[in-house]
Amino acid sequence: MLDYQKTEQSNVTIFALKGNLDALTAPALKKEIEALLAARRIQVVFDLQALDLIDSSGVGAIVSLFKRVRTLQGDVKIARLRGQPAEIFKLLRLDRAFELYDSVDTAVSKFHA
Amino acid sequence: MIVTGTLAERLFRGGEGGKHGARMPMSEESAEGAAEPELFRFRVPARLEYREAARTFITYVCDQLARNERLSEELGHRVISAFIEAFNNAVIHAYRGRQTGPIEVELAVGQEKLSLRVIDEGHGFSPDDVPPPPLEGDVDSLPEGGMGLFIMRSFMDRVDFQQEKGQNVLIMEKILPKK
Repeated sequence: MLDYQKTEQSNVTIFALKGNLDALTAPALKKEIEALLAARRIQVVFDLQALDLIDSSGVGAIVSLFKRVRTLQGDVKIARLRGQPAEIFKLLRLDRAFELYDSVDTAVSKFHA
Repeated sequence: MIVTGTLAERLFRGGEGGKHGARMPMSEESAEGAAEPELFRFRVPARLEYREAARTFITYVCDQLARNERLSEELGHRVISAFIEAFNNAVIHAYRGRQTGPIEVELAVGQEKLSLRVIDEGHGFSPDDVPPPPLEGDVDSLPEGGMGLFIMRSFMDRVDFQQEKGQNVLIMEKILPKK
């Protein structure tokens, strides 16, 4: 089960994910991502404070978006990573590839720094 | 009689169980270190939505172990991560192109280790043929797939595959830190 809220702040799209981002739910997020890219929204923050669980499929969805927005000179930043997803990010060294921030506001502000 | 602890809490507490008269036979044996592991078994259709039923239970077991200082929260996350990948693999790969069958999940909690077995009746595979994902490169080489086995092997102390009687048996073990 995955709930997500999409909001806009200072031209940055914030995805707040809640629940599980996994093989079952990643396809729905990928659809959102396609819509985002179609609209050329290439500044994205994932707020993961309420994300309880991620698996390799969920990681694949975020990495896929990351690569694509980078080719369009955009970026994906991660806010409030914790718990099991933090373990996965660390293992797969995604904590080095992504910029991680303790708050959504800080992550958003970095797009305008 | 009011039992304040849950069944699992009493089982996993080991030798100090029974404070409220709810002592399990295993508790006394555990004090001697000779107890058989407690075994839990699920058999579900190989569909992703059923993974959550097993995962919820395993999470509960890890939480109980953490409460009794037998497994850290961090190690619990690792066990769950490995289990998810194992179950996903069975659903997505084992029954590809054929009618979906069952997945069995066995969880055994002993004094020294936690063991997980994920069993399917689908296609077997050769884990040695699966290369590790590239993790040292630039953004373009970040992995979008092929991470499941790597996660299992990294997060568990033992990962083995066996084929027996038409079943594929994935065995994973996590050593429980000594108290």
